[in-house]
Amino acid sequence: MYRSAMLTKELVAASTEPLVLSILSRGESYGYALIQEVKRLSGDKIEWTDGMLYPVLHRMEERGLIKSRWDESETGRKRKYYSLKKDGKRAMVRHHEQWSLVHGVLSGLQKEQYV
Amino acid sequence: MFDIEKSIAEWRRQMLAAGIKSPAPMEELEIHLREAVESQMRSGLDTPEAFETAVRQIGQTGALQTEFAKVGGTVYEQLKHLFRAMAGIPDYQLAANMNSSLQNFEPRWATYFKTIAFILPAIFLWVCCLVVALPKLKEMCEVSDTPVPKSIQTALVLSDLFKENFFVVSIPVVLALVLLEWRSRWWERRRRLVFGVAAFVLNSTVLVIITAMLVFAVIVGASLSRHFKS
Repeated sequence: MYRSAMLTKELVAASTEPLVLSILSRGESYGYALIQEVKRLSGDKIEWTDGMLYPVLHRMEERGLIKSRWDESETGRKRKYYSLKKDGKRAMVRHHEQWSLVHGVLSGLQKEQYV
Repeated sequence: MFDIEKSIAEWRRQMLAAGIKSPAPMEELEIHLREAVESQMRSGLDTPEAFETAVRQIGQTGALQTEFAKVGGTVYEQLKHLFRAMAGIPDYQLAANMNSSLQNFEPRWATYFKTIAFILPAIFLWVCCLVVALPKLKEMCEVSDTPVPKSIQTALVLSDLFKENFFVVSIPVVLALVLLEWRSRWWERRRRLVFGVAAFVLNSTVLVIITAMLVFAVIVGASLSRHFKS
């Protein structure tokens, strides 16, 4: 489903939604910029198959997490901008809690191994 | 010589052939492709290479189709879109059908034409009712000594008021419409909804009042027959 340099595709799939929500929580953005941003933040280690992002965005929109509007870019090109809705913000907080939990447990276990 | 437009058209054809039918995702993908090609070219690739890389990054047609098919799949979602489409509420599927900025909302003439077509029967019925049925009903009331119910009276008074002040009411409405059509971008998205709701309310009102009159006529008719028997 996803092409990835370091992460397994299951992990990439599972992390797409929290990543998109978190980036959108900074302000509205569009498909291409979202992909570039994730690439940049992960040091090129999370690389989505570009086209796959759009169905994910559309599903999130259907579930009422985000909303979209068409507008024109500075260069006059049409773009579909996505932004966070209230439910999306809540979903993001939930994702953060869950990922932090997993992260906390894992790093605890990792420490044990080196003691 | 490599023709980028030709290549994009061919890529588009392949995507459509693979089953990405709805114009919305297709358009978004094409915009993405163009942006990716430009970005690759800025980083030094020549046009054919840039195009090839961008297409590869967007992904396989088959896999994309499977993903897009998952969108809008549930019965609930489909019903929701159907309801919105019928009610004329722009949702993302409608909005996504746009070819260029706002063009694909229902064209202006269609909205006006449909609204007129939908309210004409109601207006015709109402006029018939006023001209033919109402005098008879009043006559029946007088003969049987039954007062006309308040609700029907109110409707008649309002109807008379509207008839007498037709220009006072309609000129501001027409002016407001002209102003909205002329200046408002907001209006373009809501025009169909507003007209739809207005036509619905008008039709329902006429229907309810005529039904009320009919029921009332039956009741008066019954007392009238008693009146004649006695």
